[in-house]
Amino acid sequence: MTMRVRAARPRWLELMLLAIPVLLLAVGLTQIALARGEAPGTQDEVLVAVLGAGLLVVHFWLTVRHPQADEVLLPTAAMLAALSMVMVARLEPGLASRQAIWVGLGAAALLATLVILPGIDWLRRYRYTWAALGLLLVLSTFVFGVDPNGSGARLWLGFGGVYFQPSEVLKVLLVVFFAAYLDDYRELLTLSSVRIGPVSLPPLPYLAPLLLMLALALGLVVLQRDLGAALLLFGLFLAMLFVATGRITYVVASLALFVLGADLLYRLFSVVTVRVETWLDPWATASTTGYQLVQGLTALAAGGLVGSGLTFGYPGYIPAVHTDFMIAAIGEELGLVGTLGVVGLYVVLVHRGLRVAMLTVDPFASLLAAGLTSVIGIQALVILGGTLKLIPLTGVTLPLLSYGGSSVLANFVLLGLLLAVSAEPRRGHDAP
Amino acid sequence: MFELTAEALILLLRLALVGLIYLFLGMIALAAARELRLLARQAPQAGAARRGAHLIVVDPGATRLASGAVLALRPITRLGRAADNTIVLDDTFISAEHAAIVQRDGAWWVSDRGSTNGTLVNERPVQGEAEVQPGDVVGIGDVRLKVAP
Repeated sequence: MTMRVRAARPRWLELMLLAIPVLLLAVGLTQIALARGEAPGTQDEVLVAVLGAGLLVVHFWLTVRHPQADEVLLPTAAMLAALSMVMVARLEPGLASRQAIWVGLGAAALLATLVILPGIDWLRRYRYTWAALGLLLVLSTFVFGVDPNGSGARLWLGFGGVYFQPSEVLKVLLVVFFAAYLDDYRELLTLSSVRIGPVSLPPLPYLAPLLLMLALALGLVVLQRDLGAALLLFGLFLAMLFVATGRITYVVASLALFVLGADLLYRLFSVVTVRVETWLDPWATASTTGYQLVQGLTALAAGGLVGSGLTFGYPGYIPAVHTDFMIAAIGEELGLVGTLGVVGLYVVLVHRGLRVAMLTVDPFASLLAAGLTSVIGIQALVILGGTLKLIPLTGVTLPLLSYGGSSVLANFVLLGLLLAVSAEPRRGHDAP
Repeated sequence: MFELTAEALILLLRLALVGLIYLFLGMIALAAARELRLLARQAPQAGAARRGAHLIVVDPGATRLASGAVLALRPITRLGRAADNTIVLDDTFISAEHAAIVQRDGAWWVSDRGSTNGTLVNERPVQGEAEVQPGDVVGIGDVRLKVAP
């Protein structure tokens, strides 16, 4: 790691933008309290203070140690976190303080990532350790897995009342592994090929470890019936392979594999069959398997353009509304305007992340940023598309917005890594 | 005096909640626009700093390239007859995957990718990898491409 002495430079844009999520939380909580006929209480004040303090500490650390880091990523994530605190306070008042604790711990995890990380290169060096660790965590759910909220899948690990979902960690660890591996073999994968008749194939032996790791990860999550995570990991693999090599043949081949795999899963697993049939016609099973989707669509329709306003809708009928179906509640109470605003926030997050990837000089760091950004983008697409009945519904959390400890923590760590990459030497700035 | 009822206050807060999201997005759009203007002002210098960033078609051979056309070099540029190359050269004397030009340590390197008829730099066959400077001519089949800044 190069010790470059940089003068602390004020990050005015970040500081200015950070005021908005804090204000948003205060406005949201006040509106909820008033609509319930109460005055805003001390709990509301504590929630606002927790968010404000957490953000200020991270902002201060970035100003002192990483003044070059991106100034938009943290405020955008904070907007989503603030909105998640508002929505959890609205939907599950009993969980509001818990979600605030998770956001606070998330800010701490982000800070810890920035403080502890001895440099981006350290991640590259232990690439196989990360991959093994991720798989081990997921594997352990087969033995110790529990299902605290009756979703039918044992995806959580529990210690003393706190539950934790290893597949959230797996996604971050796999990005690091993919980035390191693809960086090692980028030229080989891009340039050479094996020719069979008129078709030229990529050099398979060099792809094997990558494919093996992907197959292992996918196999594990599919066996766990965690289809959302499987879809996310596959999309991530595809995105990173394309970013690293720029070869459209890989994308076409992978998509063909995806179609084959999807067809196989459709035949083998009844879970998949049910999901696809529900997607094609949720109204046929509106009281059983299609219930969640139909309730979600009804809520979105009821919201109209501007929504009913917080506490004036009935999102309580939607199962898992505070986790996977958050956007349906936002659609009902904040309307199309609010929903598009949320989509806008994800667009900003993805745009800034890809910008970091493009500006970074080090190819590994660049791939890492592209992969981390893809995780957020693909995950948001998978669950937003599922809720809106654009694609079959698979349960993943809406990044940073859904209630849930492991999801919030994993996404804040992901953000910390992205900020660390953005503080690396950039094209046209530090680079000679 | 105008008195604020609870209903009016709630309506105001509702508007403020959604308004804040759009205020945030608007501020980011403004910041991005300012940054783009700044980048546009710096762009000419940044372009000049990079070396050998283009190929000029000196002799298109039997391909459909126009003589004098300027092709951008990418950090990894693959040349050949197959459709998935960065620069496609549709000539039967050129192999499907013929040559590559790669940027490394601020320089550009030409290598042959096991083509049938070989790759030339200034009419000499490339063994392994050869560094090229602006002004050098890369020969692939009957095609001649000049490296230019």
